Amino acid sequence: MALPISKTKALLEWKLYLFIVPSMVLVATFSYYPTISAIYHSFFLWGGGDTKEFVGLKNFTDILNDKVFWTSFITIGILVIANIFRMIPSIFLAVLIHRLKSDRWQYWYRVLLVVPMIVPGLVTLFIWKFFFDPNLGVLNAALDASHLKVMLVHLDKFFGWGVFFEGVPTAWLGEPALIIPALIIWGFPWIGAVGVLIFLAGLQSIGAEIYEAADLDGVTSLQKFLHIEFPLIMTQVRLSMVLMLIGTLQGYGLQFLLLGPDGGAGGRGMVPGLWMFNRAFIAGEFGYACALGLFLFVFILGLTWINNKFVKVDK
Amino acid sequence: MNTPPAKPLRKTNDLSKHIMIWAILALELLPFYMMIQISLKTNKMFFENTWLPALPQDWVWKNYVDAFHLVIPFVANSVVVAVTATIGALFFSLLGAYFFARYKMPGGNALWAAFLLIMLLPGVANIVTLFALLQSFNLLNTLWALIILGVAGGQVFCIYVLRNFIEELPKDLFEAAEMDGASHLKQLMHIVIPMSGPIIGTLAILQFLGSWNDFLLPLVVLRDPQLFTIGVGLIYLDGEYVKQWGSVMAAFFVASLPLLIIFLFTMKLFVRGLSSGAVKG
Amino acid sequence: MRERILNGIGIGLLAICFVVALGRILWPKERGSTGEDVVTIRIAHWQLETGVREALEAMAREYEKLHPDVRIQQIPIPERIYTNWLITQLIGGTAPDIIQIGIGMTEERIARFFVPITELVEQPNPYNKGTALEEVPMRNTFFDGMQGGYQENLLEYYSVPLSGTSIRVYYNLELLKEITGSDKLPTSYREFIDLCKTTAAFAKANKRTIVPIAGSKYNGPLLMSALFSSQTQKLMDKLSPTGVLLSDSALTAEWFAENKWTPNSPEVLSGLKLMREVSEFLSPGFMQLQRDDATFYFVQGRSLMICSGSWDSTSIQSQAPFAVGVGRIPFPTPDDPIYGPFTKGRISEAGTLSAVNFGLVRSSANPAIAQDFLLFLGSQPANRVWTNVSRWIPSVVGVEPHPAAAPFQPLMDGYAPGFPLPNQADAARVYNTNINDLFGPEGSPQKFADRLAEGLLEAQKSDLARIIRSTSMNSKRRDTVVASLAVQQAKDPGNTQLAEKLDEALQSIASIERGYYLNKAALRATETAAANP
Repeated sequence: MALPISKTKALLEWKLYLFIVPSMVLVATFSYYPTISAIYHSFFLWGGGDTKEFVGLKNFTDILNDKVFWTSFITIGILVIANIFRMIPSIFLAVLIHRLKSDRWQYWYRVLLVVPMIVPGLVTLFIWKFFFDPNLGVLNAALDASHLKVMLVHLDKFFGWGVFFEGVPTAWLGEPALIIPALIIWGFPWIGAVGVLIFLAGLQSIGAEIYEAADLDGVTSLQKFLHIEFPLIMTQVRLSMVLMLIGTLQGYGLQFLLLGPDGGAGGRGMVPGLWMFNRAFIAGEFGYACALGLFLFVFILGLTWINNKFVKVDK
Repeated sequence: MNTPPAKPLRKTNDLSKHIMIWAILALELLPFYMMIQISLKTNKMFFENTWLPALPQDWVWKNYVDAFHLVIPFVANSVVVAVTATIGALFFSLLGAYFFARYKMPGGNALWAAFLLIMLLPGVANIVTLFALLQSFNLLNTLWALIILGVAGGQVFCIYVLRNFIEELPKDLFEAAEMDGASHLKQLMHIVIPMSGPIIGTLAILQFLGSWNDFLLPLVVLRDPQLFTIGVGLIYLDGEYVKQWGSVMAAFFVASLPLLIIFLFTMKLFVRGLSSGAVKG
Repeated sequence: MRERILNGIGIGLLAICFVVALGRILWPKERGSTGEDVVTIRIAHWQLETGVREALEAMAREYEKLHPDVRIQQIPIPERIYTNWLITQLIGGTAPDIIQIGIGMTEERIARFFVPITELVEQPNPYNKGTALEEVPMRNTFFDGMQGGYQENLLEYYSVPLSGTSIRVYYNLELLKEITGSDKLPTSYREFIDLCKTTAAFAKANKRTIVPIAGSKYNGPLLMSALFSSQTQKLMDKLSPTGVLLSDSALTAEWFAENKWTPNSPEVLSGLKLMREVSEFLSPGFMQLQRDDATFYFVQGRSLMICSGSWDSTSIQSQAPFAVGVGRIPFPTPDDPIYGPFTKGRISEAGTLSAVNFGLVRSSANPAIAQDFLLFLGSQPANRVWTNVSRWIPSVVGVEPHPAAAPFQPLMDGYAPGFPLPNQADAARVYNTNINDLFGPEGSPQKFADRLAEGLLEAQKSDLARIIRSTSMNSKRRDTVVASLAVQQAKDPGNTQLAEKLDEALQSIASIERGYYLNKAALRATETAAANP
């Protein structure tokens, strides 16, 4: 805790205020001001430069009629649910490593985990984009070699998807129906080094005696997980989930890189953030983009508030 | 009483775990293996032999020569931006965190709330108005814009983490220094910094990574190809019509080199810092 | 301890990188002259195809020889991010001096950000001195009269074109010889389809993966829509009372609404049948593939042919390890047993416009010099450099195309094309959602025609409404121009230039209004048809 300080001493220590000035100035200029400006400009038709025209709520009524925007919410919803599932491998791996008896191995695995971080996320994404390529497709080659492709073709005939055909290279990013699956699959096996390390740190607090007691009681692995480990890393899981939620909802970098600013074939990969970027920097409608951003902002804020209100954590 | 069989059973249990871990890690590292093995082939060689690396005598070193020419400018720009932004961010946030952690100064709570608010505010629409802001400062098409924004963006998170950390430091150290007449700056330099090695290291790496991976802001701000950072540069490479995948993969590798250097030498620091800092969070 | 040393080395290495990188940025190698006053002119485009960047560099060096105090810097930007790059640059005020006009351009943006060069091009080009074009007004020095650089709705010339374009079919001559024993290219559709069938049989017999035509979302429709319009040639003659030579989307829409043609008309069905027949020889799943996928396929020797524009010629020829033959799109001849009855004959390329257009940006810091460079780019000597280095077709009259570009020169013999299927936004959506009914394994021309018959009318309504809105806005914009010209003319009756301008302005309003009324009539007919099915 910071030390309490009397008013008189505080006056003497006035120079300490200088310490915070640069940060405040930076944050005020580059974080607060843009947000307020965005709120302000969402009531205008704004071309981005000096030309703007006040139109009141027109941008917002346009949003109500904007089919692309609402469809993008469905897409992002699917991605959020998918991302929840994508957290599972990290937790699984953390538990696996944690349960190892040898500390040395644990250490080495933690180091190995950091290795993927050496390659910048961008490069990983581009390598995956290369995997998705229909002709050079490493993914397609793998599916063919493991005979999964044949199974997919059969499933396709059964369900009538119309995307997997024998002898036809599957265009993961080119076929509208496959775009969302591609967005979900990428990065398999979905391990995030930072995530696993954080979960591991949380698991450290579980003492060996608890495990011994559990073994004595004949508790199975699964029960150990559900009753001992998972509750104790709840804080980290919750934190990760909230961060993931906010990140996914407002994120569009992934879609931009894999699919382009139009959301790919048939616009199926369009997410709210990307639509906002599109409206501003491709259609040149900066005011409308601000309104879209404002809408997203309120939406995410609302979700965070709900999360804080109803999902309480006891430390 | 039945005692469960001790060591033999545990050994086999661990083996299955090891196998699973290795399987997962192998899949995770697959893209990088592919990157490296393709970077030494021509398109034709890759076509004929997709999975296995080429033989050493067939390695196409020309790919790396091409990659260097392509990518080094981008890497250089990224290095400058990332290093400067990291140093700047850490410097200012150390000052700021010290302010909050040292004393409960009047008005401190209000300021802290203001900071926290930023963490909660999703800055989705900011890029639009940031663009206009940068334009009015005449900072468009400069690397300074990226650096300043990197510094500003990193403030909140770094101050949050550093504040928690500094508050945990024993107060007597500070009081002793104060009685010796040390100014706050000296206290910061001689007490806080030496003791926060790991956490500063971790924050530095995270900040560096964030700056390195950023591409949306540079895309919007930069005009001249010679200023492009690695993010935009890779998009640029991706936009070529017919790609020599060998050179492209080599370029990816070169783009990862600075990070490779950092991690190779500071890995333990990072791992430790993350584990210790995380428990506080 | 060891850790500290390692950490130290790591940080040390990083510091070295940093210093080196910083050095590169602060002291870039200055190309160009000795003086301090070097003016840099920047030119941006999206043509990343092989040969173009080199050609522009060559032209830039020539210019720099003439003007040692100027340095030209080329900024190539990939197509995919071109639009948002463009917008941020134009709005942010950091735009280059010369920008290629095309992708991401609306008339709004052109009018707002670019300088009209009409007056400039009415004069002879000073860089044409010493050539046969010395006295010729610049706009007549281009093979299409500089129509490619003309913005109809804005009434002005805005850009200087560097190249011509045409669409051809590229052949893998080695493979062709292997399959047919000769390297004679097919000239008619019948020969073409027979070649496709032979190729498919060859591939099957020898167990090799060879696709007759490399296809993609881009290459496939390029070929098929050209062939489609061969089937509606006679129909267009029949329907058009005034013998309209080039199809007009408003007229097509009106005829559709009045049931003068439907997707089930024999001509249209024949066209769809033609498309489907060709599609069976395209790469499987071609609608999901991209342009570079098809090119890659072709240069890897896995397909016999590919249809693409002249703009891909240098890329394809430089990457293919085999000899490449270039042939015209094989149209059906009037004596073709199946497709002959509806066609008049091969389609002429007389109507093609020049391309690779560069416009002058208003916010340029050095407008005079930028303008001068632009003039240079459009001159005959520069265009010669262009075609020789890029191997693309020249745009200026009197320039001999590079031998590799010669097969791409637009061929004038032939007839006007028939009308295409309506292709504005909403109509395009109708196709794309139903395209599997034409090309898919279970598809057929009839199925697709039925889908079109269901959805096209509604799509036409919204498309036409949109066109009408924008034409009326255009003509309103024109009103201010005309009004101001009229006022000036009234004050200065003797000024013949003004009088000519006013004349032109009135003519263009007339043409915009003609478009407006045509589309309105079409919309009325469409609404009536929709109301009374």
